[in-house]
Amino acid sequence: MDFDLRDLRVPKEAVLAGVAMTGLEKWYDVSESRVQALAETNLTIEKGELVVLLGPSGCGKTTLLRMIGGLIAPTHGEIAVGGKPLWKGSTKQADVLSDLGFVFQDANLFPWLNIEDNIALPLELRGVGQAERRAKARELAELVGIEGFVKRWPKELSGGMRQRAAIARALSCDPSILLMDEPFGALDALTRDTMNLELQKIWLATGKTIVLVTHSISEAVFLADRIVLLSPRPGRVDRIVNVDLPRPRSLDVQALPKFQDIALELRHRLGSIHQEY
Amino acid sequence: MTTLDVPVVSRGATRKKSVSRETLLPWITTPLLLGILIALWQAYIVITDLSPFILPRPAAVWFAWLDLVRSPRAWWHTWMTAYATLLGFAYGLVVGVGFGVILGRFRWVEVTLNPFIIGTQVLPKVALLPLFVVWFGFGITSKVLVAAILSFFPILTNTVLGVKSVEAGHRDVMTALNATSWQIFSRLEYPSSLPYILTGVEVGVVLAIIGAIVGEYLGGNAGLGFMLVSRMNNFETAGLFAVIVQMTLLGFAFYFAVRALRRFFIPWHQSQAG
Repeated sequence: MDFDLRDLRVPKEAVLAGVAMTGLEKWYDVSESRVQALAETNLTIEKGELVVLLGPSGCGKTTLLRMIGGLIAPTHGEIAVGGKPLWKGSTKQADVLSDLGFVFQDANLFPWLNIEDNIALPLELRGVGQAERRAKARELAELVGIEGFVKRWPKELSGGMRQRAAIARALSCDPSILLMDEPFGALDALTRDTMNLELQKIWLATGKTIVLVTHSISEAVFLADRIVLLSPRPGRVDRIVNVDLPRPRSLDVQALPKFQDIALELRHRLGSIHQEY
Repeated sequence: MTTLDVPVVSRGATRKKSVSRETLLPWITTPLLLGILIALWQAYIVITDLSPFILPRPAAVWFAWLDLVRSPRAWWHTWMTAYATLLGFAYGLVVGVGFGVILGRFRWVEVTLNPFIIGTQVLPKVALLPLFVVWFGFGITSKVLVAAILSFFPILTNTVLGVKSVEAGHRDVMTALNATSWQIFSRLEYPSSLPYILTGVEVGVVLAIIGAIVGEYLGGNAGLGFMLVSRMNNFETAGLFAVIVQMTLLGFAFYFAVRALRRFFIPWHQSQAG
């Protein structure tokens, strides 16, 4: 494909399958005063895009992601997934929510289910039969590279393995959008590199739209098509940085001048954000 | 990598060895300590020339217990106590878990009922026994009720704790998956609370035995509690000891049953090492 979906005059397909946020705001009530966690935000994430939300703590990146995932309700504004609103009044739309998969910082696997049953949990909640669940769980375990561990308890797996299982669980209902909240933040640096490569592989293989939150600049530049840099108090979009490094990227990409330029630009901006607040 | 693997493997092996040594140790020390205890008991009687009405010899207790085991009547009494315990415990379990889930889930229910729960908890439950006898007579109902009430509270408080201790991250998973209220209970809250509930069960079943036996003291003509009181009235001290031994064995039976339940229901929990 020579053309970019973003170049099309009417990105109808993109809007239908991506995430559109308009006038999104989040306020919290903190002991009789209101605190703005996220100032008015307009952001569109297109189909198949890998967008990274980057920023210091308190910048509202997790709040934004949890709002997209329907875990918290926005105070103002709208979120549309694939052109359909996530909220109608105060009720979440089940069909919209089912198109989203969420991966948390902790794997949050249920210790009383083995890996296979953990991966298939979303299918079980939808009433999918056992044979089909098992087949799907095995297929996903293979995709994330833990096919030899499906019968184990979560406590028997390493942190990286558990996070792989959590990704497989998020993919089990075949959502078109994967939301990841610092998914590799709790892992050691070497495992983190491996997981970044794996995630890119999964993304290229499945063509999902991915929105990932991180505070690691190198992780952001390595993974992202676009980086949304947020600044705190109140959380808001500071700037959007395109990362047009070729795919698939190997870890060596970090040595490229372009990679370092982008990383440096982000580091400077984050540094001045840090001084301002 | 091989150099890294070797120490890990050998460390695992030594740990396994020490674990098996640990499991073996009580099988040697328990009979040994029991033997020493019985020898001291015997020695005390011989030295002080104590009356068998105060403290019978170990051998006399042993024979009294053998008599008890051979008597079908005694087994019927044992069964009556076991039956009152089990039935009372079953009520305590169902009501305790039911209320526990509601109290753990809905903060306002807990806040509303808390003064009453504390009130009934500090009330010595056995004090209600005469009332139950007035209401339900000397039959088994009053025993079942006391056993139920005594086992209810530890099960209730542990269930509340269990439901409240469900990890926020696990709840997030269910929320993100748009799980229904019933799914959240059956797939998350119930299994997550099970280790807590089973801890309540461990305490509850012992209290249920106490409830049933105390119930039998006060009235009726059945159960190990009744046997105990009649032995006391006849000054059969050795027989008294025999009944106590029988009660202890019944307690052990319940204790091991609960342990087996733990292994069956929560094999994934860290309390089930190895």
